[in-house]
Amino acid sequence: MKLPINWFMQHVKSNRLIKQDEIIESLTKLGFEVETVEIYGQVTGPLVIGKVLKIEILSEFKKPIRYCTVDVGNRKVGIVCGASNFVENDLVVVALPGSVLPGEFKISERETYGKKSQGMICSAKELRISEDHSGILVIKEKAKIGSDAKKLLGLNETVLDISVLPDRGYAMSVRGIARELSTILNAKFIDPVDEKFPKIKKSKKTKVKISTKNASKIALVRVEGYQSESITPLFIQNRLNQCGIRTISLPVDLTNYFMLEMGQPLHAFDADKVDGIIEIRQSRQNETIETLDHVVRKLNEKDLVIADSKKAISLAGVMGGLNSEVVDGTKNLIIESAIFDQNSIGATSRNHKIPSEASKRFERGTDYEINHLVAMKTAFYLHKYGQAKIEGIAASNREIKKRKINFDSRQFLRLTGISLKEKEIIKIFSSLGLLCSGKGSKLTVKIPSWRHDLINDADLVEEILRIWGYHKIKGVLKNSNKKVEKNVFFEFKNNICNNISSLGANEVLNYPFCAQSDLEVSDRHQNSVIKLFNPISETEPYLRISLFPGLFKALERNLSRGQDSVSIYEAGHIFVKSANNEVPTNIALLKKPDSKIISNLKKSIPHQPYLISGLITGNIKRLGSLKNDDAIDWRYPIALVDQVISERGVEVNIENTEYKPFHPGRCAVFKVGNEVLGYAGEIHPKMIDQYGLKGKVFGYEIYPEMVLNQISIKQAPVFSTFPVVKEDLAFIFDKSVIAKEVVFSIKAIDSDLIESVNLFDVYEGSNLEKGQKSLAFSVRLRAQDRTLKTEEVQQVRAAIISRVEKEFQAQLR
Amino acid sequence: MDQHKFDAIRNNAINDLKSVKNLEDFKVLKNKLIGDQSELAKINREIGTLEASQKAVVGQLVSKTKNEIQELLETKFQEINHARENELLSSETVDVTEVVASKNKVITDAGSRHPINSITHLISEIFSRIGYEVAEGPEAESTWFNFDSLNISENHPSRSPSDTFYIDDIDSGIVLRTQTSPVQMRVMLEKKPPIYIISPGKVFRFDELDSTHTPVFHQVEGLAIDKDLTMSDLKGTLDYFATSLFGSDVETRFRPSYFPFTEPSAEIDFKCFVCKGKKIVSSCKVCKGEGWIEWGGCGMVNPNVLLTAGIDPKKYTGFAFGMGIERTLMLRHGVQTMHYLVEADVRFNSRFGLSL
Repeated sequence: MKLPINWFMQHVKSNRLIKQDEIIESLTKLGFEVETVEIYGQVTGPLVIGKVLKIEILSEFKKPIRYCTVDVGNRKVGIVCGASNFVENDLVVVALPGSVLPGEFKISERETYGKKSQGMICSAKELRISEDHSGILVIKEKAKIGSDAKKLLGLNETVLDISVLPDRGYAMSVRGIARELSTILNAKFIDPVDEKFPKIKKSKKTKVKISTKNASKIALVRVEGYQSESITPLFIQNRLNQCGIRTISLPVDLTNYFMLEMGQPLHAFDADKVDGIIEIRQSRQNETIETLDHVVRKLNEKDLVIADSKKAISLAGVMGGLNSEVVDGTKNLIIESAIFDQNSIGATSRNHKIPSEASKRFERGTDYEINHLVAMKTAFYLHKYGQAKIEGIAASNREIKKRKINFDSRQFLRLTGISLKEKEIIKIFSSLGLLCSGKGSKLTVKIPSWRHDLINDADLVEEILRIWGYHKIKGVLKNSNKKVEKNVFFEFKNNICNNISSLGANEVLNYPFCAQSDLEVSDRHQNSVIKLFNPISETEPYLRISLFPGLFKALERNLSRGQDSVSIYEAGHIFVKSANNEVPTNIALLKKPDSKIISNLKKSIPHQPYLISGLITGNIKRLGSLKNDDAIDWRYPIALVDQVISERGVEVNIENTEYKPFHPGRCAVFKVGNEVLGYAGEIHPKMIDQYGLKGKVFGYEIYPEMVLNQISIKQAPVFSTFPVVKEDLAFIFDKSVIAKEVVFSIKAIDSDLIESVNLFDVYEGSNLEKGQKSLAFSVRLRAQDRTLKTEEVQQVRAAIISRVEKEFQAQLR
Repeated sequence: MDQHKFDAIRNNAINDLKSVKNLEDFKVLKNKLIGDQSELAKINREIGTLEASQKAVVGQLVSKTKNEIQELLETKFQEINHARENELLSSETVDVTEVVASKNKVITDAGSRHPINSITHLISEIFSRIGYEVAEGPEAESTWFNFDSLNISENHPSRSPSDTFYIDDIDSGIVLRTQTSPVQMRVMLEKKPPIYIISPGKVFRFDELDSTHTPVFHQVEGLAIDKDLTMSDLKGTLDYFATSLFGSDVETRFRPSYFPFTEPSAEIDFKCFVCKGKKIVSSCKVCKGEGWIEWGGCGMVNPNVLLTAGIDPKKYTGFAFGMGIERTLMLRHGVQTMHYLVEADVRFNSRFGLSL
């Protein structure tokens, strides 16, 4: 909300000079952030009112140029001007040589179009007082020739853009801001509502009624014989311009002006376009109204309208109707000022997407005791500046009782930790217009008609604190003094991610949104996909069921930005429709729902498993190596996952499997019993194509919750200190033989003596037949209680050879 | 036979040793000086032919000189050996900068955490030190937990689909959570006070990505419910938080604000830690000359929220606060644009490595 400082400070009476900095600081302390500080029409040097004496048209140029003789008070000057919206004897604004207009625009005497031009006749746009560039600014009011135009046009005024919190509707006006400032500046508040004007009698022509619970008051003032050529006085025009509101006509300008001044939105109808009794009612089904912005709006029963006996004439509290608009030539008017239900106006404004100045104020709540006064004041000004006669007032009011809050003033200390005397609390309340009665700490606080935000104790505590000063609160560090339970999963996630990062991977965070084609990437959950009602992008309306699509895109981005080798991973949730999708509704608030409801609420949300998935491509660089040593192959991701899981003491089983998005022949599944802990392997070439990648890409998917479930306290090992004997054995196998099974088989021969079996070479090719492979194992033998004898070693060796040859149809090399 | 002869032998030995540079020459010389054919050996062999009175004297001189020469030889041997070792080591000298020269500039070849997660963990440690637990909750959440239970009215603008992502349909009752506050409600319904938690996590708001906004971002919220908690305790807790993150001389201030779930409500600002709030107009990159930096919202838990959670507001009071993690990270580490935090470019992440 933009307001010029001098407007609201006119209502803050202090016997000392209050500087701009103090005003801004005070507003901030009160909770009104000052977003911008602007100088309206910053002009220096001679800017004066001039009278056009003579206009000479220079016709030899492409466009008509005028050479004007202008009386600027002490002399006459010649000025060349391109605009043509003025005539001789008009009063205009003249920037004389030496003046500087907004935007560092310096005016000097110059030769142009063959004439000497001694200044500039200004438009509103050049002075940056409005966007109106239809022509130069013609002053319609009486003004002394040669007088300073800056003052007359309200230039060089400081305008603040003040942000008002959504619960403080009462402050959306000069009245509201001035009242707030008065409290903190210890000044006297001059209420603009108190301005006196002659009494208005009851209207004989206008009748009004309220037939909805969503409105409580309405006042209509009828004025007649308005002179439609009347001009809005400059001081009002200036202020509207300063507030960024376009000037239109005297009636419209006045309704805007008094809304800004007192916070009560108003509307002016052309009385001759209204038939019969005026009514506030709910809209009827299929009713339509064309609003002032020329949009035909379909209404529903929730919308509130002001109607005459035949039609809706205004979308109440939001925007007027075109059918009753005040236009050029309007003679008789009805000024309307009402009190509507906050929620009803808010809903209508949102449903029809019209955030008007009026609806913003109604939504936040207006002062329910002044609506008729504001209408009368507007009518009075219409009479004063538009020669209209005030015919009378019609009103319908439903009584609104002032709210009272029983307040124990000790509540302030309890919630803030600050000790204040009751006297001080009462003083703060009264400065805000809150009247107190009661004894000791037990107060009854009467809530004024403009404060819709004060409901309970805590609201009152906030008011005391706000005026006393939020900035004065001194901090006290409070330690919980209780045992802190470790969040096991939070720490575990962090741990496992640190682990993966230590293996050279970079953690990334991708959006969880995905496209139809991304769903293909996943093997699971394809029938339980969740779609957003309002996605950011229509092409990505789904929530992810796999982390891979985001990773593929991130990988592609990194490669296209010049990386050769990339290892990335993400830890995050996927979203899967839950079987039980009944969301409990109409749950009573302000008391704890029963446990059944809470449990149903928790069950109704989507299933959101937590995964860690990664992709790797390119070469792996050994620590300290200058070159990328080895191209990554399918073994790398499997080894990575194996390491991450095994390091936590979990003995994991691994076998070949098929799982999207992996290569069907190069995918490992990690299991403990039947529980799947993850997958790893080479990415399917189809995916590489689909995401515009090249070469080979490898990946993994880990289920941390499953891994965590398997972790138990590690038991310390017992090991032998007798010497080890190493035996290397190579066999020729059929290609289908699984290496791990050979290892298991060898180990099973004598689990006491065989300490470990490691595959250390795999060979296929020349001097082996097609379909054969050679696997070489290193076997370590050791006894717990003695040094092994040669014969013992020979025996085990023979047993291994015989078993492997028999079991796998292998042949010792 | 006199002393001079022995002196001469010793002096010659000293002279000869001077020119010896390697082990081969040393061996030859050693043989020449004290070997079987050396002058000393010759004299020694001739002792038997001397008169008795001379025998002892010469014998002594021989052995003394031999000892002296042996000592000289030993020193020389050490010298040669040392030189040899030095030569060997020096021939093996490498350029140690090769290792770092092979790295990309400022990027570690090692992996990295996303800095959002690193700072989240840092924050969890800060609060763990004053007795707070970490609580997490679901990202897709019921509107009851996300709005209703937190005193956010049916008509509140934040519920509009231009602010909140709805799942399936506008009235499905399920949204992508717009804040981590629903976690607070979940904890309050589950546990009895005293409660001291922080809830970090991902939140979602209908914003287009630009330099300061992203539709998916992270928040950390805190909640404390206990007997006698006050705004002063809240301020002290946030002072501790701010100084732990931004340095011990960071000053904070409260400003009145409005949130449906707290009353009184406040904004917390801190004095710019770069320009120290000197308000050097627009020259400070961090605060843009404002002097104060907006950080987050906070307040005393609204009694309505406590009632819904089944906590008696007459018995307990509580405070809550919430900060954007992206904003906190950007301020603390001078991140220029939000794009860096969401683009997954490894050059950005790897600048931070495993910790901030």
